[in-house]
This record gives sequence, C-alpha cells and structure tokens, in this order.
Amino acid sequence: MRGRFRLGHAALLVVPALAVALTLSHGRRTREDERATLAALRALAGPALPSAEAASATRSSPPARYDRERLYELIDGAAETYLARGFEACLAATYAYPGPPEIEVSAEVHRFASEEGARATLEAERPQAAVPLPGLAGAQGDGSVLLLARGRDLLKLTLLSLHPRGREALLALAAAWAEGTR
Amino acid sequence: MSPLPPGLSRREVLRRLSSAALALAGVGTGAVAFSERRLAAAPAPAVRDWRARPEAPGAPSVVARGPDPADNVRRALLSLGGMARFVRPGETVLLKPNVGWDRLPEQGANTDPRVVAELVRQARAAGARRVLVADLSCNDPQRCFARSGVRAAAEAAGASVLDGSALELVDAALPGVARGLLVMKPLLEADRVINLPVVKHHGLSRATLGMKNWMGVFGGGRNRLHQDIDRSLAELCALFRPTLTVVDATRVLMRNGPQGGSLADVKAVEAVAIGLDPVACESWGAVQLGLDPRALGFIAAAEKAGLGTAEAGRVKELGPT
Repeated sequence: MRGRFRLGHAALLVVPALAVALTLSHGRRTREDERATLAALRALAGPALPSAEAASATRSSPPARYDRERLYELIDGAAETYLARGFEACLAATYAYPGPPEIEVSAEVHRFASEEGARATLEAERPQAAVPLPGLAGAQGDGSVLLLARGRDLLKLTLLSLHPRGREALLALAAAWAEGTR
Repeated sequence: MSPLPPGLSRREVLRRLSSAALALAGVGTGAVAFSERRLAAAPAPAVRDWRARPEAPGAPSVVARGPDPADNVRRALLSLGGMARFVRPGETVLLKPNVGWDRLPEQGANTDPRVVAELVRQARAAGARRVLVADLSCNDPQRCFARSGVRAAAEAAGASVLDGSALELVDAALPGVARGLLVMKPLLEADRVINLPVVKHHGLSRATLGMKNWMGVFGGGRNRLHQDIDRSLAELCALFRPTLTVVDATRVLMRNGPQGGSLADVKAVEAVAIGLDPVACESWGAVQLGLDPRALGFIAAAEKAGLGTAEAGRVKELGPT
C-alpha cells in the first residue's frame, strides 16, 4: 500500500512538471516566433540605420534615403557597380559623439537584392588595411572605415574625425546596428 | 420689333462680327509670335575659351614636389612665367576644385585646401578683381566645403566660396553629352577658369582627374554622363578649355574612390602639376595612380581628338625644393 502511494505521488509530480515544461516550451517558441516575425517585418521595411540611443550617440544629420535613381547623388559613378550588384535602397546619416573634440561618423546602410550582393560590395570596398574586428562577427575595418554585412544589408561606417577613440565609436555603432538586425 | 439698328441687316452684323474676330485673332497671334521670337532670339550663355592663348598639344606643363603644397604651387607657376602671364588685372577668376565629398583633407577625396588657397593668393596678387571658388558637391555642399577645409582656406586667402546652396544654374544650350544640363552661372561669366582636380581612384572610370572634375559644374541629371563615361569625359575636355589645369597630387586616394574614407588608402605623393595641356596633366595624374594613361579610354579619346598629348613624360619635373 505504501509503495503504491509513492508511485501515485510520483505520478502527481510528473504530470504538473510535464505541464510546466510544455508551457515553457511553447512560450519560448512563441518568443522565437515573435523575434523571427519582427526580423521579417524589418526586412520588408527596408534598410535601417543604427539606433543612436543604443550606440550612445546622437544623430547630427537627418536620415537621407537613396533609391536606384538617386544613388549617384551619394556615391557618384560608383553607383554603377552597386546597381550591377543588385542595389535596392540606402539610408544614410551622420552620428556624433560629444567632445571635445566631437567624433563624427558617417553611416550608410545599403540593401541589395541578395546576400551575395552585400557580401560582394563589402569585399570590393574593404580598405587595404582592413582586418576582422574582435567582438563583432563579420565586421571588417581599419580604424577609419568599418564594413559589416547582415543578410542583404551592408553597413558602411566612415570616421569623419581624427580621434584616438574613433575606432570605439565605429564599433559601438556597428554593434547597435547588428543588434537591431537580429 | 427688330433688335438691330435700322438699316443694318443680320448678314451685315455677322459680317462685321466675323471681321472683328479675325482682326483680333490676327493681332493676338502676332503678339504671341513676336514674344516667342524674342525669347527664341535671346542667345543662350556661351561657354568661353578661357585659355590665355590657344596652345598646341604638348604645351608646357610642370610638376613640383615637396612637403609644402603651397610652395609646390608657387614654384610650378613661377616656372610657367607666373600667374600674371595668365590673369590680367581686373579679371574675375574662378577656381574649380573637387569638393565633392564630406571628407577630411587627410582622406584625399577632395582637392587639398592649401593648394586652393595658394592659387587664390596668386590670382589676387596678379590683380584679379574677384576670385571665386565653386563646385557642385555630391554630398551635402556645406558639409563638404567645411570638412574638406576648402571654405576656410579659400576665404582666408580672399576668395568668395560658392557651394551648391549658393550657385545659380542656367541653361547654356550645351552640345553633345551635356545637352540639357544646367551649368553654374559664375563659370560662364568668369574671365579665367582654373581646373583644379585632385588625383584619385574612381570605381567606375578607374581614375578621376581633370576631365571628370568638369562634371562638378553641372546640376541635376549629370549622372547620365556615367553611362558612356569615356566619351562623356573626352567631350567635356573639348567643351571646357581652362586657363590652367592644376592637378593636385598632395594626397592621392589610391583605392575605394571617389568617396574614400580609409586613411590607409591614401598615399602622400606631395606633388602638384600645373600645365596648359590638360591631356598631358591628366596623363601625369594617371601615372600617379599606377595607370597607363593610354589605357584609360577618356585620355585616349581626348588625345585622338587633338586636345593634347597623353605623353605623361611631357610634364617636366622641377625636382624637390
């Protein structure tokens, strides 16, 4: 009798434990679904600039949008090579970190029709002295320029100030952008 | 009771009304035609030949090297006879540098401000009444002129700086590839024009030098010139005949042009070439990028058109200071 009672108690414990496990599992799948949904919505919305707040910076210029017709206004004849790689749209803005002296960074996010287009542009525009940057998978830079591709999007950051902490500013913006693309 | 005056038939009224209508139509048509004739007859601003005197291909061109860009400009000009040989007192001189990009001088994407400033000083010393520095930038014009250092340097030397926010554009009825493009008005009104490109790599044309620099005188729509870039640049070389071509190779952006950004992509060549043969100067600039001038379609086309020589060796080295 006592043995059957222990078996029954065990069953009473297993059933609720199973129920809790199933509920948690469902919740995690739901959160993952939401994250995937958000990522898909962001992808549909077009390229997005790094969050100034997330990077602890301020925007020193309003975002400017360039499509296939207007890309020349941003990068002149180099637009031809972008178009050939499937360029679709670009958002650009300038960010600032307070000084003195102030650090300014130019940011461009280019969206291509395919990941291959973004990757090919990264490789073509990688500065001669660029190396993989620690702490940010896929980032390539040389201290004054940083390039990072995520999916169909290519982030290009250019330091507009000669500052010993400029590299940190580039990494902070790139990290904020990468987080926003997850 | 008839509403018509006595003795006046309906037919007569209609006849008189028709005559009046025809007369009015005739006057109106004449007025319109006359007005349009006057508009059509108003001549479009012409592009002048700004050369001090027409020069044959292979005309003198020199290059000065050294760590001080302003000194390089002075020495090169002196060896050509001095600015007074090219600028007369009272004239308006327009300098056309490359200030296309929101970049620091160290990034080599724009003409060096020290080169611009020295040319301003030289033109003023030669008696120019007014010296203008103008360009229609690709990026935000005020940022470009500020971050490049050109505005501060040129204004300190006594020039009036005109960026895209202050430049009036006009229809100059240009021929060929430039047909339909608006051009900066001060260019057409200047007595002397000095083309002042920076030497750098270009992702499409492989090099951007003096011929490409002319694209910065046009307003919107100039991007179509990229479609047939070699022919376009050679035509611009034929269209715009500057007083002098000054090729700035103080810092040369060797890759990832025209925008640049990486300091590691910039090479300190520390040289300035000045000449009367724009094709020779162009060729010299191409050599600084490690390129064969005649392998660049626009240079080959310009030479073939008799606009100058692609022989870079014709640019005489003055040697270091």
